Amino acid sequence: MSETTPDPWLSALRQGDRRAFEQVYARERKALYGFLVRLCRDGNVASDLFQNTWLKLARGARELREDTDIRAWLFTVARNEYRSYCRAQALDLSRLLTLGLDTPDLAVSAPGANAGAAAIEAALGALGDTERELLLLVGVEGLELQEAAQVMGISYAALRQRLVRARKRLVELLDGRDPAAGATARKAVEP
Amino acid sequence: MNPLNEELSSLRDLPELEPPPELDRLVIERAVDVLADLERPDAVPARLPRVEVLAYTAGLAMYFAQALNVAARFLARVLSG
Repeated sequence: MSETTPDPWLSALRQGDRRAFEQVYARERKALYGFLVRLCRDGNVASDLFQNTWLKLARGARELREDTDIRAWLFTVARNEYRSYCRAQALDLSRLLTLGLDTPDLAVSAPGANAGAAAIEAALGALGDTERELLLLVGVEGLELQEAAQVMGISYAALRQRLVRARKRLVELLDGRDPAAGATARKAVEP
Repeated sequence: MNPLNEELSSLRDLPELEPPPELDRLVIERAVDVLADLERPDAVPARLPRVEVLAYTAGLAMYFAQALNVAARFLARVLSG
């Protein structure tokens, strides 16, 4: 959302208005949920982080600035929630790897998804966190580059560079040029 | 405008993921509670200044003393015939 078009619900939301919250929720719920599910690769974790993000908005409603871009704010908080979750889980994950146990299959499956979509989902899953969140923000959720840079806390130029790399990597995965990750992607589209 | 939009269009075609209805309910329910809690501090009455409380108490005591004095005089007049 650009600075010239302020969010119509921001002012009421800053007053703690319940209806404004519900309107913002109705508008952003799918995008935020999709972003978190695809980022976490786990519906349960995504649900927890989704809930935390919205509760943070409710708690911080009065502290929002007049020029706050609510969408970017939500994605920033969601991303930070995910980062905190990863830090908390790092020890557990390292334990699993030490014990040689398989991590759970966290492929995203959307109802009505076709084979092409499934391949893209699998390729996204094979990307690193930073590449995946960047492609999710810009490619899937359609944030402007400036907005995405704000969410990720990096400069516009750095974001463009990362985006080019992430896109290249995604194409490689989809073309099967990365045997390991390509196998995961192919597995996802096999009947 | 994002110059890579065209090349990223396949990502845009990914289906939207719908949050489960129970998650929607839970989020709204809890958020409404939080928003209601935010309103409560305004509803708490401000603490009365100590000087004002003392002045009010003194005035009230004087009023009761005066009323008692009037009642005692009336009683004395009645009893003395």
